[in-house]
Amino acid sequence: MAEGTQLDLRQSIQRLADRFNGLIPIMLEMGILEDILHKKIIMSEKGGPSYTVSIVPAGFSVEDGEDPFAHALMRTTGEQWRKIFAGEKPYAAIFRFELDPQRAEIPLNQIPLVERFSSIMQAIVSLPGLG
Amino acid sequence: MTIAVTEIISTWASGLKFEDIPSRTITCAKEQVIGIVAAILAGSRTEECRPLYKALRDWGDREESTVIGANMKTSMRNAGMVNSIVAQTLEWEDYLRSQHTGASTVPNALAVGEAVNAGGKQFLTALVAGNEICGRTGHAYIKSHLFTNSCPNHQIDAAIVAGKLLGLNKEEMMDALGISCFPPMTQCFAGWFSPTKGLITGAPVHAGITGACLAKAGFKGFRKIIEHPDGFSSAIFERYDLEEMVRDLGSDWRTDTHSPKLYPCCGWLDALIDSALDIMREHSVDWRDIDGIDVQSPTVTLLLNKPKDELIELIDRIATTDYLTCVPLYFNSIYPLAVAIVDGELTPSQFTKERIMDKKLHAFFDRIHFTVDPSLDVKEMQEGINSGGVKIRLKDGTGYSKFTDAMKGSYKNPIDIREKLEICTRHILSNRQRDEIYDAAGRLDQMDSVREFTGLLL
Repeated sequence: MAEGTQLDLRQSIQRLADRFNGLIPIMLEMGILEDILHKKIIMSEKGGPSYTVSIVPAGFSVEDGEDPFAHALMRTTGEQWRKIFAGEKPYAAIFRFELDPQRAEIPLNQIPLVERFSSIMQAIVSLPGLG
Repeated sequence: MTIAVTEIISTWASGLKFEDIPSRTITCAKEQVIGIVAAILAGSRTEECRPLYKALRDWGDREESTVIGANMKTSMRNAGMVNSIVAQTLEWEDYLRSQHTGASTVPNALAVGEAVNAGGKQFLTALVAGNEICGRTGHAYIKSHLFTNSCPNHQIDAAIVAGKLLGLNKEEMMDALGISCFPPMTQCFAGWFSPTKGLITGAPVHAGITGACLAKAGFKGFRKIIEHPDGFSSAIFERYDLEEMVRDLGSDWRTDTHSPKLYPCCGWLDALIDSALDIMREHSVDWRDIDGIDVQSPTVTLLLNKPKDELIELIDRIATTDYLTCVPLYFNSIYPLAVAIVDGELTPSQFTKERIMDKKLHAFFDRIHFTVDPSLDVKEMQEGINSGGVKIRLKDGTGYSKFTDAMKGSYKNPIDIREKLEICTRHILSNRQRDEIYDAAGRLDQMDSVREFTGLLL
């Protein structure tokens, strides 16, 4: 994704879902999904749309809106989402070692899940041969 | 059923004898002492640590324990705390499998051991006891939001080390834990931008020594503090494994996985730095001839990755703000690798506020590209081994690759600890002084008093 390109969060999440689903068997075998299975996570753009992703062994699905029973909320600006989906930074880096506290607000009890999902996202968007 | 962790580890630690510990484990503990002393000496020369020594002088405590590299003594509680903070300052200490350890256990054992005039065997036994507990609690808490070097588990090992040196029996050791672990400490990642980061171990060491001293005087603590549903573990960690805290205690020696870090940066970068420096040295590569660098790393290496624009913004703020330190750069995936390749080494000289502002260095960031290999994360979690590879492409079309299966210094790829002592103290000690420290550490188990060793550390 070129710098300055407008983010389509729905499309980016769907592309992540497609890659994710192709890797589920190997991720299950490696135990990588252990901490995020059966979880719902809201991915939201500040001032923009929100989506709820569900992760189960059968696959990763996306729905419009914010599920009130979601386990975690990931919300940041469109520019930050663009960098995250481009593989330039993981989502976790917007709240760890970040001097500007406006970039993310994560409740303490959601941090482990968000960090784990963030690492898996980073791995998937950075894997070679999938673009 | 809840496991009686507080009682089990107190029973084990208070009953541990030097003769119970395998010789291989003792050797690792001696190397750990050398590596941590080296890290403290390096940290003692940093600007951010100088106020610590001024504060100790102003307090004027009883002179019973050496403040390493500062030519002074103070109370064992404050010597342990300050030496521990300084050990962490440059992110240059050590870890066992999955857990940073030596910055807590070694300064504690040295400070209390010197104060009570412990024999060398007594000192090493307490150090190993602390390592064994720390290596287990760190692993038990690793799936929480606080993990590895951010994990505030040291209130447990600090009480064990100090309690062992003070000769506490099982009940007193349980009291020491009950006191040390109440109130439980945590830490905030934002503080890692400032010199306070060293308090991750420094504050627990102070609490542990205090807890052990109070317990020896008869003060009681809650004797189920670690495992109680309203106790230490549940007060801080949303997930923990009590079984792991006592698993194979006394048979699987975690001290044997001692891994001194060769570079002042996050251990998750070490294999990449090893790979890059090996290529640069073996092929006499000039960094100006490099067209691109392709990096293969575990995902966790990129945990704190930043795009170039944000990294340069961060560097600028660090360089121009007096309360900010370079600690965030120790954990960034790009800066340490770039500066190591350009300078041919990674030492504190690569993290001065002048060095980090070099525009040519910033331009070099663009040449580094990461791909991740999640299988390396699995290895990291299971074995505590960092691995990764680097491919350097030159402008003339040639290229060199290197994959480091286990970072140098890890228990799977050990270094001669004298190498770390030399790098850390190059501008601080003479060759003779280094030899004296190295030789004395090797004789610790033969010393009647650990003061023979601490006397070399002023």
